[in-house]
Amino acid sequence: MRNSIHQWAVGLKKTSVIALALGAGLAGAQDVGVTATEILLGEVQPMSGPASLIGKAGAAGSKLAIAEINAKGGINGRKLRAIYEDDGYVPARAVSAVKKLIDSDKVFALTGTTGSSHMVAMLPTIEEAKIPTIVHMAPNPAVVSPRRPTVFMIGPDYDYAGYVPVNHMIEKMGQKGGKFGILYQDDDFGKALLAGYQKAVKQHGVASVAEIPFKRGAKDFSAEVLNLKEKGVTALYLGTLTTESAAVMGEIKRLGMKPVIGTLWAGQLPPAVKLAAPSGFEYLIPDYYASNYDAPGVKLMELAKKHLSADDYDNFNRYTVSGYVGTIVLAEGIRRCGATVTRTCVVAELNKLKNFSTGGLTGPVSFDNPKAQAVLPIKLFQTDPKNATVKAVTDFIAY
Amino acid sequence: MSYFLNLLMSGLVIGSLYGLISMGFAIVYRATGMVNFAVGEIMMLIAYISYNLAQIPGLGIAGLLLTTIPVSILLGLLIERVFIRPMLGEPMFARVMVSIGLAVVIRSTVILIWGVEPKAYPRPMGDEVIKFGELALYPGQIFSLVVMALLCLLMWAFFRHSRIGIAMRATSNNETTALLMGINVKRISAISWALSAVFAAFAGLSFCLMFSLEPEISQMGLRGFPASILGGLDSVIGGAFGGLVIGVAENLAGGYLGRGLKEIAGFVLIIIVLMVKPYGLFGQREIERV
Amino acid sequence: MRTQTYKTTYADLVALTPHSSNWAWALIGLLVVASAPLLLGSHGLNILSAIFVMAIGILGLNLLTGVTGQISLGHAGFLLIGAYAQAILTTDYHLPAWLAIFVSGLVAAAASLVVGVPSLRLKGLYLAITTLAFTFIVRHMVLFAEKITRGSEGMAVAPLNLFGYSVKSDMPFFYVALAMLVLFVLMTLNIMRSRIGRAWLAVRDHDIAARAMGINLMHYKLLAFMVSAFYTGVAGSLVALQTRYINVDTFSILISIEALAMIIVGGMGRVHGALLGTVLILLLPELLNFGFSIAGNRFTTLMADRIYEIKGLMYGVVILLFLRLEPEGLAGIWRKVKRFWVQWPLSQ
Repeated sequence: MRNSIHQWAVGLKKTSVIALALGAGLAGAQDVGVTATEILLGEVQPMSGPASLIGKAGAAGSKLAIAEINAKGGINGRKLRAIYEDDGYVPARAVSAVKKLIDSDKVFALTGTTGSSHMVAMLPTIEEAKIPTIVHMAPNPAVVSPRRPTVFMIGPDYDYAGYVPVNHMIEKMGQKGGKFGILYQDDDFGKALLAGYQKAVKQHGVASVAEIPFKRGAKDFSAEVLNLKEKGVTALYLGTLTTESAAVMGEIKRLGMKPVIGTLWAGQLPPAVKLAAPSGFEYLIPDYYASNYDAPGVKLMELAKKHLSADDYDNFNRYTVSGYVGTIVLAEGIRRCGATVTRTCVVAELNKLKNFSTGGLTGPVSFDNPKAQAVLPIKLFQTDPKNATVKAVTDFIAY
Repeated sequence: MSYFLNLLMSGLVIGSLYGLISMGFAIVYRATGMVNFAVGEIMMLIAYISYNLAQIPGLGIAGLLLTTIPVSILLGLLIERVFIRPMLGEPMFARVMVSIGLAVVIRSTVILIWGVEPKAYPRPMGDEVIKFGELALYPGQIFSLVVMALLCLLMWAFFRHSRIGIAMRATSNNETTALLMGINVKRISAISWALSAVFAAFAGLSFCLMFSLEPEISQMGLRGFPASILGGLDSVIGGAFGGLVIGVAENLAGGYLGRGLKEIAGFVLIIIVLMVKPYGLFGQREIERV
Repeated sequence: MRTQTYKTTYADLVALTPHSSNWAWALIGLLVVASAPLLLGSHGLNILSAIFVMAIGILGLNLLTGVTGQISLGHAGFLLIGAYAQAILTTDYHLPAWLAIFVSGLVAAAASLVVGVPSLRLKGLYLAITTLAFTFIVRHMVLFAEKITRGSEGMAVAPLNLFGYSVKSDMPFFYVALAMLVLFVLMTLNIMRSRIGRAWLAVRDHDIAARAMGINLMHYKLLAFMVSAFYTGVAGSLVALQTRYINVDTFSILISIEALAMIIVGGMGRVHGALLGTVLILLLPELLNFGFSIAGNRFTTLMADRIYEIKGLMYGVVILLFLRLEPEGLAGIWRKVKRFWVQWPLSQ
C-alpha cells in the first residue's frame, strides 16, 4: 500500500527525532546546535546543476576554514562541524534544504546561502527561526532591505560590478570619447549589472550605444556580437559567465573587432581565464576577493593543499575564498562570545564587528551599519592571456 | 547587406549543429519509432571521450575522427544492446522513458568521471580566422558545415539505394510484420542506434571545436528537437534542413528583433509550420486504419 | 476474502470505487497520514505537503496523458501559470487567497486552449514537442511581461487566509494540502466513472474508432486539456502558497519530464498509479539521503565531492530498473501483489 511507504518514512523520522532529543538533553541547556564540544553549522549550496562549480567551491572554502580552526583547537574549546545541503540551484529545494537544516539537523548558524533568488525564498524561514546567517556568495540588496535582524551580508551589491570596470575604462583607458556597449543576462542579476553600467556611463557623460540582453544558458552569440559591431562599440561590458564570455570573445575576434572589455567578478575564475585566453583580450575584472595569484590568495591555496581534497584544490577560485571568509567571520562572532555561545550573543557581536581583518583576502569587514552589510572595497584585475593568469591593476579601493 | 549575410552565415553554422543532432533523433525514430531523448547525453559522453583522445600528442583532426567514430559506433551498439533491446515490444511510453532514464544516468556518470569544470578543447585545426571575402569563419565552424553536408549526402544515398533504408521504414511501421517479412529487426535497431551515435559524435565534435567542453553540452540535445519536428521526425534529411532553418531563423530574430526573442523564435516557427503540415515539412503522414 | 469484484447491479458499474471495502481502507489510510504531524518535524511535513500538491498536478496530467492518451510535456508551463496567477491575483487584485486558487486553475485551463487547439491536428510526439514549445514560450512570456509578473525578480506570495487564520507554517499547510488532495481524488474518481471518463478512454484507445461511434473528438480532447490544466493550475497555486516566493526557475522543463516519470513509474491511467508514482519519485532523493547516512560517515567522505552526481545516477538507475522489470509501474506491482495474495496458495 502506498501508506506503507509513509509509515516507514514516519518510523525512521521518529527514531531520529528521539535520538536528537536524547542527545540534546544530555548536552545540557545550550543553544540549538551547540554542545560542550561542538558547534554545528549549516550551508545550502548549489552542488549539482548549472552552478555546481560555484557551490562546490563555496563549500570547499567553508571546509577549509573549519579545518584550519579545528587544527588550532577549535573556538574556545569547541570544534566546528558543518552540514552541506544541495539545492541544485532551484529555489523550492533551497527552502526545503534550509528547513531540514533548521528543524531536523538543528544547526546553530548558516554560513552558506546559495544564489540570490534562492536566498529571498529562504528568508521567511530564516527570519522565523531567528538563526544567524552570513550571506557572502550572492550579495543581493533585497536581502538587507529591509534589514533582517539575524542576517549579515558580505560584499558590495552587483551594480558595483558594472560600475567599476566602466569607470576605469573611461578614466584610465582613454575611453572618454568611446562608444559603450553592454551584454547582460535578462534576469535581475543582469539588470543589476546594467544599472551599475548605466550609472558610470551617465556620471561621465559617455555614449552608450548598445544594451543587449541575452538568455541565460545561450551558447551562440553571433547575432548579439554582430549587433555590437554594427553599432561600432569600442568599449564593451560583458555580463556573461565563464563559457559564455569565452564564446563572446571568440565571436568578437572573428568579426575583427578590438574593443576594450570588462566583465564581472566571475570572470576571474581560472577556467574562465583559460577558455578566453585564445581570443587574446586583456579584459578587466573587478572583485572584492583576492585572486589565486595575489599573495594572500596564494597563501590560502597552500593551506588548501594541506586540508582539502585534490578536487577541491583544483577547483580553487574566488568562491572558495568567499566560503572561507564567510565562515571565519562567523567564527569570529562565536569567538567573541566566549564560553556561552548563544544565537543572541553571536548576533550582537557580529552587529558590532568593525574592521575585521581577513588576512588580505578582502578589505576590512564591518557590519556596524544599518544594513549589516560589509560593502567591501574592490580590486581591479586584468587578464594576461599569454599566461592565462590575472594581475592586479589597482588595490582594494572603496567606491 | 553584410549584416544580413553575417547573420545568415552564423545561422547556418549553428543550424548545422542543430541539424546533426536532429539527424541523430531522426535515424532512431525512422528505424524503431522511438524518440531518443538521450541524444544530447550521448553527444556529451562521446565529446568527453574524444577530449581524452585529443590529448594524445600529434593526433591531428584526421586521427581524432578515426578514433572517435569507431568509439561512437561501439557506444551506440552497446547502449542499444543493454538498454533498448530488452524493451522491444513494450509500450512506447516505457521505451521513451528508458531513453530519459538513460540520459540521466549518462549525464551523472560523465560529471562523476570528468567533473563540472569547463575544459578548453584542443584545436587540432588551429584557431585562426579564415576569411571568405567579407565573411570570416573559424575552422571549427567550417568543419560543422562541411560535415553536415557530407553526412546529408551519404544518408540520401543510403536510403535511396540500400535495402537497409527500406527495411528501416518497414520496421518502424510495424515490427511484427517486418519480422514476418524476414527483416532482422534486432540488427536494424542496432544499426540505427550506431548511426545515431555517429551523428551525435559529429555534433559533439563540432560543438567542442566551436565552443568549449562543458556539462551543459547535453542541453543541446533539447535544442535539436524543434529542428526534428520542423523537418519531420522520421526524415533524416528533413531534420538537417530543419536545423538549418531554425538556426537561421534564430539568428535573424536575434539580429533584427533582439530583446531575447532569439530563443523562442525556433519554437514559434515550428508551431506555425505544424499547423499547416502536422507531420513536419518532410515527414511521412501516418496512415491510420481503424 | 473476496477473490474478485463482481458487479451485479447497475449501481456497481457507476460506483466510485470497485468495492465498498475500499472506502474503509482509504479512511484508515487517511487517518494514518493525517496523524503525521505528531511524528514528523517541519522538514518531513514540508516534503509530504510537496508530495500532496504535486500529486494533484499529476492526477491532472494523468487524465490528459494516461486516460486520454495525449502526451503532454507542458506540465511545468501550467504549474507556472497557476503559481503566477495566484501571486498576481492576491497581490495586485486583492482576491482572497482561497478564491484565487480556483481562479488560477481556471486561468490555466483557459491558457490550455492554446495548446489544446493544435492537439486536434497533431499526434503523438509532434504533440509532445509542441507542448514542450508551449512551456518554453510561457517561461519566456513571464520574463517578458515584466509589468505584470515582475520579470526575473520573482514575486512574493501572500499566505492563505482561512477564516481569519493565516496559513504560514508547515502543519496547517499540510492539512490544507491533504484536504485539497482528497477533494481532487474524489473529483477524479467521479469524472472517471462518468460519460466523460469513458469517452476519454475511447479516445486514447483508438480515436478514429471513437469518432465513428459518435464521440465528438474535438469536444473531448479540448475538455481533457482544460480539466488537466485546471488541476495543474491549482497545484501551481498551492506550490506558490507553500514556498511563498516564486520565480521562473522554480518550474523548469525538468519538472515536465519528472511528471511523466511519475505517471509511468506509477502506472498510466489509474488514480492510485498516479499517486504511487508521485510518492516514489519525490521520496527517492530522501530515501537515497537516508541510505547514504546509514552507510556511515566514512562512505560519505569518500564520495564527498561526487555525492550529488551519485545521487543523480542512482535516481536514473532506479527509473531504468523499474521500466525494465515492471513496465506497468507501481500500479502493476500492486495488482500482482493483490492477486498473489488473493490466490494463495494457488498463486503463480
